Amino acid sequence: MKGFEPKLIAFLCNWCSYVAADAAGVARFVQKPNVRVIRVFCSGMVDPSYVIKAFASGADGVLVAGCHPGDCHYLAGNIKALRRSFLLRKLLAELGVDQQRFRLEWIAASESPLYAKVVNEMVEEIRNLGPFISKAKKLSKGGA
Amino acid sequence: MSRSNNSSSAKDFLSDVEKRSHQNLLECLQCGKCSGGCPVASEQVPGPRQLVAEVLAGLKQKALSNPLVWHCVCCGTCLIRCPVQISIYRVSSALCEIAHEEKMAPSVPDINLFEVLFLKSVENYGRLKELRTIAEYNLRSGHFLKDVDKGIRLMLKGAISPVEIVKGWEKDKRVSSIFEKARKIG
Amino acid sequence: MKKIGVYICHCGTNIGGNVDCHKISEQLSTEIGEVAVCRDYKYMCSEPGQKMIRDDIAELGLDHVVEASCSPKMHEPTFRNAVSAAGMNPYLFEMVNIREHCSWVSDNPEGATQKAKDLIKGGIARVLHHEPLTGSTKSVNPVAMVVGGGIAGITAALKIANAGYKVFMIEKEEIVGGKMAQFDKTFPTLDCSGCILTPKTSEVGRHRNIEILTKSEVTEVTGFVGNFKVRVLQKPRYVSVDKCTGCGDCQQVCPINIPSPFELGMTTRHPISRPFPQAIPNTYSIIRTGMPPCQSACPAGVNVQGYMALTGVGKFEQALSLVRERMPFASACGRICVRPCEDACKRGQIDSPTAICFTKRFLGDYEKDTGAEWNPPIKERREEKVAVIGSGPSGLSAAYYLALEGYQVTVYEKLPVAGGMLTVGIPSYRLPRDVINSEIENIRSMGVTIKTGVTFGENVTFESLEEDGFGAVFLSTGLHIGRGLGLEGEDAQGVLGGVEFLRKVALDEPVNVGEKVIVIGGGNVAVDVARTALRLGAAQVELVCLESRHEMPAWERELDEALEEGVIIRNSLGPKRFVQDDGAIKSVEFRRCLAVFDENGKFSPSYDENDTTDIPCSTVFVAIGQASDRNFINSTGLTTKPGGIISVNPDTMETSRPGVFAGGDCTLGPATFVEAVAHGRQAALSIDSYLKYGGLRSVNSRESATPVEISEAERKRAKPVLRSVMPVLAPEQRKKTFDPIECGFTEEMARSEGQRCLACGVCCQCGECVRKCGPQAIDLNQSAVTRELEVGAIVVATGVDVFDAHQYPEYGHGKYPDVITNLQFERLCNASGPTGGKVVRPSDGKVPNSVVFIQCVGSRDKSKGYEYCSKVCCMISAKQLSIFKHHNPQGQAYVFYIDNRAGGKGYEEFLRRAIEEEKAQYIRGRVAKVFEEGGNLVVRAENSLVGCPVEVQADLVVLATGLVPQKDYVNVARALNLSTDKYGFFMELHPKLGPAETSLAGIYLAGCAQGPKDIPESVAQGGAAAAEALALFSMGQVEIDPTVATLNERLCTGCRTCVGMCAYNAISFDELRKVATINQALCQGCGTCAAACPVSAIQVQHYRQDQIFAQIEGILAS
Repeated sequence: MKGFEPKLIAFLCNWCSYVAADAAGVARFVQKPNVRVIRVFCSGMVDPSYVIKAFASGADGVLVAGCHPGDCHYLAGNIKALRRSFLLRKLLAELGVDQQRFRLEWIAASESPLYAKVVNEMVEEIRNLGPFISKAKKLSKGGA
Repeated sequence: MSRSNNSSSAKDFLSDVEKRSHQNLLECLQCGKCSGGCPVASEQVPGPRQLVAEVLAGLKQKALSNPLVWHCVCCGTCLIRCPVQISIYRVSSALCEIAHEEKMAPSVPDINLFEVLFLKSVENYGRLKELRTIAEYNLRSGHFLKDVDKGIRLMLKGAISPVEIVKGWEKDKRVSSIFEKARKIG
Repeated sequence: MKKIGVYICHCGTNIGGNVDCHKISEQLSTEIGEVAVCRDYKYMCSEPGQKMIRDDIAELGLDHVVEASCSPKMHEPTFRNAVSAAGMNPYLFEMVNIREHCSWVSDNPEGATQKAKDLIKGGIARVLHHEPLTGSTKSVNPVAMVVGGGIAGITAALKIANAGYKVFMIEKEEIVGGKMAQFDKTFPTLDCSGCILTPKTSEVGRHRNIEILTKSEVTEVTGFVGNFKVRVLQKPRYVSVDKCTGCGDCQQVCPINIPSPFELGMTTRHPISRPFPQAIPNTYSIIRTGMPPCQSACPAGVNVQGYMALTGVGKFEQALSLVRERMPFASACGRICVRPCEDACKRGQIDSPTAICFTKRFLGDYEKDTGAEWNPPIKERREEKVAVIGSGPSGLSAAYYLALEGYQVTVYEKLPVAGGMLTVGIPSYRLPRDVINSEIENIRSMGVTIKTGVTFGENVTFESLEEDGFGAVFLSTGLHIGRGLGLEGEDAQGVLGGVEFLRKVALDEPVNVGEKVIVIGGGNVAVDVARTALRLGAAQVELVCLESRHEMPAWERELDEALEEGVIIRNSLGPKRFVQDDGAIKSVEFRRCLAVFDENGKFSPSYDENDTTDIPCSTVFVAIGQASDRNFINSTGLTTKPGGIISVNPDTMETSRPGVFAGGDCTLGPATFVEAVAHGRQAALSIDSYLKYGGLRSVNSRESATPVEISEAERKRAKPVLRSVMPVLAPEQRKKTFDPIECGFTEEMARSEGQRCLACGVCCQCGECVRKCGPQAIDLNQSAVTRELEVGAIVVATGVDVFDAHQYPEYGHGKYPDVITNLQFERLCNASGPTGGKVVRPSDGKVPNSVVFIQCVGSRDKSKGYEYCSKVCCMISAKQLSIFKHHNPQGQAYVFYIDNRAGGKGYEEFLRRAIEEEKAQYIRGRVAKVFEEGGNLVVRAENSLVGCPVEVQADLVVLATGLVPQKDYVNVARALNLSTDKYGFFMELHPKLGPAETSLAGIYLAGCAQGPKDIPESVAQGGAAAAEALALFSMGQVEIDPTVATLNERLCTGCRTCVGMCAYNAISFDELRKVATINQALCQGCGTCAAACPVSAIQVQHYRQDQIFAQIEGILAS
């Protein structure tokens, strides 16, 4: 959709993906400016309600990025985030959120190019999907 | 000596070669392992490393007249040894193409002549007619008696038929139609 | 209404160049009511910037502060301190990252400015929900742990120890010193490496504050900065550090030789050894990988590798003693054992297993043949008497081991001859009578009384033995009844049990086998019966069994020999009935057996009743299995198991009657000779414990086993010799007599087999060194110990490994012996090395005249996965060629390089010296290949500065292999929770400003573990890491982040979801009050429990749900 600038929220874990994002900044890997970062201490800290709140508040896409399995600073917080993601996806589907709008990625502290790549890819994907309009909004506007 | 004035011609030449050969030449360390292993490199024929250096430096004329461009047999030893996996034989092939397009006189005319005649034979007859091709090669290159003894020995063994000179001038359209199609695609 | 101060930093042009800070500042001042003041400034982290904040807090009475600048990982502490200095709680502050995540990555100023504004709005919305928090303080345990004993670790340890604190040094190898201990000289001074290292290692070794744990690895780290709990696995040295004098006598008698890891395979070492005389710890230590598969597989636990190794070097007497520690009957065992050892032997994964069994036979026979005197190590005579019932292998074994302990043993045997199944079950062509008698004589000579013709239950009973003063009884009566089929006509004359038949033959009782014999059964007993019948003159012997040929339980070898002798085997037939003629057997009717086992694998034969075969015969032997004598067993009054076998405690061998033990077939069912012998020994040990202490011995833990799959190192040790073939008598010759079939090994064959052994356990625990050691410093029974250490700071200095040059087949390493690595060349130069310091070619020991160094082997090579430059190899080669020139001034050195990296102090000058004074030829061009021509090595490359190919003839080629992370870096990373880069080097906190720290508080880095570097850099970094640890110790306490989980008990539903979530076991469930409880001292603040709580009863302070929701809303508000 022309002129549409997606708004993405990214929950980055303090030990891996946040460091990768910082390192991407130091290395000046150019990224689209559509992503807004919220720092958490572990991908396991991301309550599913945060993701839903993000979509409800106007986000078009949500990224949760943690350490690779086996490397979590808190041993297995990322595994718990993974476990939760399955049910969360089902719930998001019920709420009318396309599956591509939510991504759970493993990005290590040294993988700054990967972080930049994921951000840029996701922005374009969401741009092609168009803005997320909640069912409530659709109903209030008199049906989609 | 040329003075660099930051014009785009050097960069254009590099990106042209990179595009044609599908290789990222900026990764080259200039370590020389390719030249060390190249079977055709000698004191007279520089190795692949030098060719890449010439392209990277934007020395178009020098690169196009580098004899390696013609001597390269595309064996792939350079690719196997290269620490950043550059297929340098593709670079030399790309330079052949550019030289041909710009109608440059090839730096090793004999090799060029042989390749042209080889392809001509394949295009017209669907195969290499050895006697005919070598005869024409000898004539046009001026090496009239080159390999004549080998030719006679081959004829005696029956590997080459002397009748080929007089018979079999019909052209075979099957392969030449492929060449035509390729030329149309470009 | 709350008053917030918002500060936007330009960071010079880093932020200001892309983000319009001033515009945002103006907009926010007016758009958001709570923003009392909004300023933008060039450098907020500078003193004027911070003063700005402090002044605003004081003058405007701000409640919260939001700072928008760089990453909080950079300056959050700076600003928290700034607000704290002004009297505001540091947790009422929020930092927004608009540099790394925004201005630095955007090429679109408009987009960047909007993004920055959104992020700041998020920060403002969030900070309104912040509450003041106070962290707790915890004291620091002023003990340091240094992981790794190389030069970096040594430096760190000494600096911390000299400051007065205790240090644990954990070193994986047997000595400290790391790679530097392997060098000869160091660049650029050409200092002798050992000379500058040994004063340091000696200091570490004798420092009263440093405790060195060698052969140790860190397996787990828990806790937090100042309070770590570390689990360390310490593998045994087997040699006491206090007692060893370093005399080296042990090495002289060790029978095993393996390629030395310290010498990089250029020479061998004994498992008990010391890398060099000045090593710290200065004592010897033993390499032992674990219990080899042969010993693990042996039911008696015979030290197979030990006796094979001793045999291999000709020490037959010692080998036999070693065998007898677990198996008293070497000659018998070597003829009849089932050999589970050989099935497990790893040599079998190359060609054939070592001939373990035949070699054991040789050892037993050798003693007899050479008339050697046998002196069993019998201990002081004891008064207690032990009775053994049954003189089979189990009983005799028990008698042997009890007699060794000094007990007076009497063996009661029912039959007129001793030996049990050995005498009356196994035909003498397999086990000759004289061999058995000799073994029995040995037992008698120990003072054991063997009374034959005595039946238990009739002549002696438990009560009578008790009266006669016997303190314990061992029942080993075996299984001597042959099982019957229970078929029609089985009572015919000429139908005999197989077991009974063999016994009669053994006792020289007459048996008429007739012309045609049928043997029913498919096991070894049936085969023994068939071959015995043949030898007694039967014209035709048919072996008929249920099983198909490959299902038959009998040994392949036995079946092959039987077939050679003319026994006919008929498979898949089951007996139906015995056809009699006037009370005598005429024939046996068989039916086709379709399957022996059912789908569950249980023995349940199915037949085709219509497919029958009638086989005429004169005699039938039924050999379908051994059974227990039920009457006898019941008469003992002991508890039994199904099948009429005696029930015993598997560890102690005790029966249901106190003081009565049992073992062998009568407790196992039909089993093997070696199991019976194992039982005998086990029972003897139990009885010994019972008589001495009244209690029964506990089971010792077994040594861990080596891997089952053969390793590369083991494969390389294999000598290319085939297994010796046991000479056997020809079938035509042997089927007529009971002469032994196998002729036995010669001395050469036995030695050869001993040398074929791969030494899977490395040290074979033969005990030669123990016996030789004067100070009695060796204890082979040491086992690995896990230690739990409490430390306050950890320094990781685990060092680096060397690239494996085999990955470049074009260079010929591993193919040509004269193509070696830098480190191998270093060992050649070193006076303690494999050549005593002579620089010679490994192939022929000649002094090389031309040495070619090839640089960048495994470095600067993306295709091999190591793109980086290893930094030190250019200097190493310059150093090594200088050493070479000093050894051989007429020699010529060549160095093929790409670039010369000489960045340290004096490095460039040293390199010029190598070129100008040592006249080394430096040729710029990466080598393409090394090949052999006319018996010489040739190195081919391009001289790229000249532009032509070049070939150099080399006497010796040295590959400058790169520095790569240790192979087990993942284990260290996982244990300490460290991050690594894509190669495996540990990640420092900041590449410029934090090279010695990690992102984990209390854990520091030093040396090449963080990245390739030279010695002075490693030393400097070691000092830096020490300084970090010392700073921590001198502070004495650490502030614990208050960002931990808290529970609102009123909301807790008691679902217990959180309890299992916590990786640190910080959450437990209070059963009384039915709510969860969080131990905040253990909580690490990860938030996994909070995210999992279905009612949000748990929240992480400073990362609460309302705070995050506010941040989301603030960011997305349009």
